[in-house]
Amino acid sequence: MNRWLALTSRIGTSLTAIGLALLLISLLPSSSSGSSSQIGTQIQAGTYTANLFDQIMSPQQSATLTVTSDTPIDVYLVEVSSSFLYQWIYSHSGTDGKYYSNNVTYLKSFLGNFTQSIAYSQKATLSFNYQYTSTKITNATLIISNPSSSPANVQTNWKVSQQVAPASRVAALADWSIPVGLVLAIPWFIDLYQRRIRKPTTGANVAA
Amino acid sequence: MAKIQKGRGRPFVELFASALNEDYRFPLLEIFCFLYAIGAFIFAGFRFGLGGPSASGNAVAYGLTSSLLGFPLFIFVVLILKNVAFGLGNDLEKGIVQTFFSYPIKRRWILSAKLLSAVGVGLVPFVGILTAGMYVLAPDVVGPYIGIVLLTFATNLSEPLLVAGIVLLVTLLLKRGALALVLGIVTYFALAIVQGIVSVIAAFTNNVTGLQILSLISPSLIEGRYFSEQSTGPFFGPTTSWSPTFTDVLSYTAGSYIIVAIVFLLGYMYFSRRLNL
Repeated sequence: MNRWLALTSRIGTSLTAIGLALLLISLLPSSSSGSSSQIGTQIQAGTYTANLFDQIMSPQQSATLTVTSDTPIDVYLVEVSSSFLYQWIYSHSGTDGKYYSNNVTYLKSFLGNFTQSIAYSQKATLSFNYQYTSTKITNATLIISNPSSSPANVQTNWKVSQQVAPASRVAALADWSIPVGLVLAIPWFIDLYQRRIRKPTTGANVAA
Repeated sequence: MAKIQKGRGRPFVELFASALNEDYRFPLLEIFCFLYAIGAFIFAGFRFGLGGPSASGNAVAYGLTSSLLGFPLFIFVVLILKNVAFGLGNDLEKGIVQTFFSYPIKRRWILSAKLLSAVGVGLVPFVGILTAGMYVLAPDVVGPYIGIVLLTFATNLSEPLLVAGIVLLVTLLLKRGALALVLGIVTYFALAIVQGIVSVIAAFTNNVTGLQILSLISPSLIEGRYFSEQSTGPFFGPTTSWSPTFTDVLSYTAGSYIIVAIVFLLGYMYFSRRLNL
């Protein structure tokens, strides 16, 4: 076999091996022994809350967040701690004590200044469902804002599970690397097949 | 002139291709790639991030990279020692090297072709797959701190490369690989044990001279100390008399590679001038 074809084929077989390893990793189930919580609360009109979910997350953790409400609400997942959020609002809204009321105006001001910290958001929703996996070690805080004029009864469920790697990302890589590797390895397979076919003929000649 | 260069290049390529074929027989490379890919995720840990997002990005990147370099590094060591000891040892025993000496190519290029295949090609999947795996796992840890990731690879690889250099010398002296391979593996583990003993002595007596000398062979020690402000392991608490700076880490790493280069240079000199078959 041509030397370059042999090299390409070996790259292909190696890529297939890597793909199979990634596939195996993606099939490992995440640990269900992580922390979880189920909280029901009422959010007054024109206010927000950031105390329902506040955790330090690593890329080997995954948080499943579910929020349901009887009134349209805005839900944000931000990569800062709730204490940072409250401190920022306190330091930027004066010392009149209004920040205690958790007014949505202050939240909008904060989010306007920290747009890069918003990992995910959904506005005017009655049902929020999101699975969050961070790409670094970071705080993650769930903020639920009620901009409407009536109180919202909100039910929040969250669960943090441990994982070896983000399954979706790893599976996507495996889905690409295995077929590409197999295609690159085709010349090697053909060569192997041809050698197998030639072998009995050579054996008969030798015997003869 | 062009004709001479072509004449020099082709035997080198032939030798390199032959060494590659010998060192990475199917499915050896594939098995190692599979193990590296598995190891990149299974052994990943964020121990320096346990203090929360306040931990410096450099420390988190170092912690993540060093967490991977346990089992995958060991299988890399096995691969390169096997390649150097058996690859070259078999060629010496079977007299294949004598055939190589008849090629229109200098002896040092013959050894270069063998080492490029044994160590250089082995390094590519090791560093490539582990770095890519870490990037898939935590892009915001690896991407901005790729320098620290590569430095951690460099500090952890100098010791295996030194052992590979010693194995090369022993293989050339004994003209056989099996004993050199055993000696290489024993040396590798002996160095790990010595590191533990020296770290304990440093922690209990506050005498860091041994630790500083050993850091010249294994700069991962000084890098670990720099990032964690303590020695390796729970018993080996911080010694107050030595707080290395980042420049120290770089200097010790450079020093360790100078030692590695000297050992390989001795191997080249012996192979080029004194090896009689």
